[in-house]
Amino acid sequence: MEVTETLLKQVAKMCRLNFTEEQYRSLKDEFDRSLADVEVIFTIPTSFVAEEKIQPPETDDIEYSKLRA
Amino acid sequence: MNYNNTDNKLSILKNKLQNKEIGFYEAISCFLDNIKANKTLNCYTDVFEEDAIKKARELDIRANKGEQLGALAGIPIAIKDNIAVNGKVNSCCSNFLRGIKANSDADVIKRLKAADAILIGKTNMDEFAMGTSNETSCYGPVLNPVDNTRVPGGSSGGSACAVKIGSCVAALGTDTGGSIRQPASHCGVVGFKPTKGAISNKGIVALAPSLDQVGILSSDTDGVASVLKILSDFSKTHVNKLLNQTIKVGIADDFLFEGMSSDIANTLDRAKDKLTHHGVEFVKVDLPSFKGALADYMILSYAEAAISLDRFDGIKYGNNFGGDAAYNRTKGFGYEAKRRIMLGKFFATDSRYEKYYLKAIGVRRRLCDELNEAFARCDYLMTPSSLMAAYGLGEDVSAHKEIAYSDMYTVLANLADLPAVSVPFGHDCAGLPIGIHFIGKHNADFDLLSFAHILEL
Repeated sequence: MEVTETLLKQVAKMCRLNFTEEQYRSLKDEFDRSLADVEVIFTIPTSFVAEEKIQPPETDDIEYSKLRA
Repeated sequence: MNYNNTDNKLSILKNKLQNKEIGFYEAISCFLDNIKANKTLNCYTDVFEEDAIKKARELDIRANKGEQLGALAGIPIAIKDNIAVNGKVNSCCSNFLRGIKANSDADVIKRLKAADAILIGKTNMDEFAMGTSNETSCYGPVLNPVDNTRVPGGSSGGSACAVKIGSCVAALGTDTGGSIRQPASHCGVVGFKPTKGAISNKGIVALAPSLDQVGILSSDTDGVASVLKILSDFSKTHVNKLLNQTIKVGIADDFLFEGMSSDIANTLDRAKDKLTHHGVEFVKVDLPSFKGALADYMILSYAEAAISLDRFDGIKYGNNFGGDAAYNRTKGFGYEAKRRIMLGKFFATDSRYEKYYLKAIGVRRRLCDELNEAFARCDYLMTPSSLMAAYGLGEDVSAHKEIAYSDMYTVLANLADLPAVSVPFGHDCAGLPIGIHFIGKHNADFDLLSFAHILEL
């Protein structure tokens, strides 16, 4: 998958992060490298099928009210 | 009395305190002096000098009255800066939380306090536990105590350094993919990640909740076991160190990696020889999916981190830098955190969810199945703790494959919720410590520590 600056800007918006144009160029390199690194998982056969959408877990490990600004 | 690197063992200190060869105040003063003498290593973000002295004086009074003291009475323990200690700054070494104090104790802190341990300070770490070098901390890097031009490892680099210099006899860290075991290996101390859930994570600032685990660093396996007894609810906490039956250790050809240094490979062979000498039998096991473990860890941990850190906006949670959420998050997070948040969001959202996140869950399950099959044939798995000894401060990680792959062995235990330990075993040609890594079966934490003790004999 080709990582474009437009795509990165969409992701940054979802993450509520701002980057300079230079940082986007650097991030594009990071994404290209990371996506190449994770390709190896596609060589591993898996039969796992999710019955419903699984979301990454949210923690309940700390009382976040105690880390308020 | 001098606590140096050779006698900085929990059992020695405990005996001296119990036998009244040294007083609590006298002992804690030695450790505080060690902190001051090694300030340039930057391993502490906060030293609880006043509280530690107050607690030591209280213990001296109680001991003189003949009162029963807790199991860790007077034992100085350092705490990683992502574990909440009531009234103390809990910054995760991020500008986003710098100066913000915790209003309650983490479960592990409650247990240490109840056991009369002395909390000596908070230790430096990679920002939000994201890193393997301790260079992403907002307080600056920790220096490796063995060679100050090198990293101590991370993310619990401050805790490993604090134990090594004899400023405490044990430290708490957190381990999401090797963050206790890798710095322990680089600094020459024991680093232990328990079975997932064996120690409560309540009160730590989460990075990737399905992988995070509070763990223990100390000078030897006995020190780790003493703290584990207090922090866990295992009923079986003592193992006969005499081996009554043949122990089988699994090694896999899949663990071989071209980037492994010859020093590491030679050390692994020497460890194997020593274990064989003690009657251990080695068996070959297959872990064909091991090649994808690091990539799998990357996808899952980054996806979880993006969600865990989503709540920090400088408005509701975290420091406000004078702007909206995007402005605060941009100012508050360091580059490594932002990079992982971006990749994590990318892996887990909508169009990429099935391709990356769901596939990674499938690979994790497959890895767990393969590990179960391996453990049907052996008691422990053995690998190096890291592909190389501590590398230089400021190294370009992306330019060195072996640095980028430094967690490749340790992530296995996190992905499968298994206990694992790194034990120092020799040095490389530059005199840097090397660690040997063992993974045990679920809930066989004390057995694992007892077995790893063979390398300390």
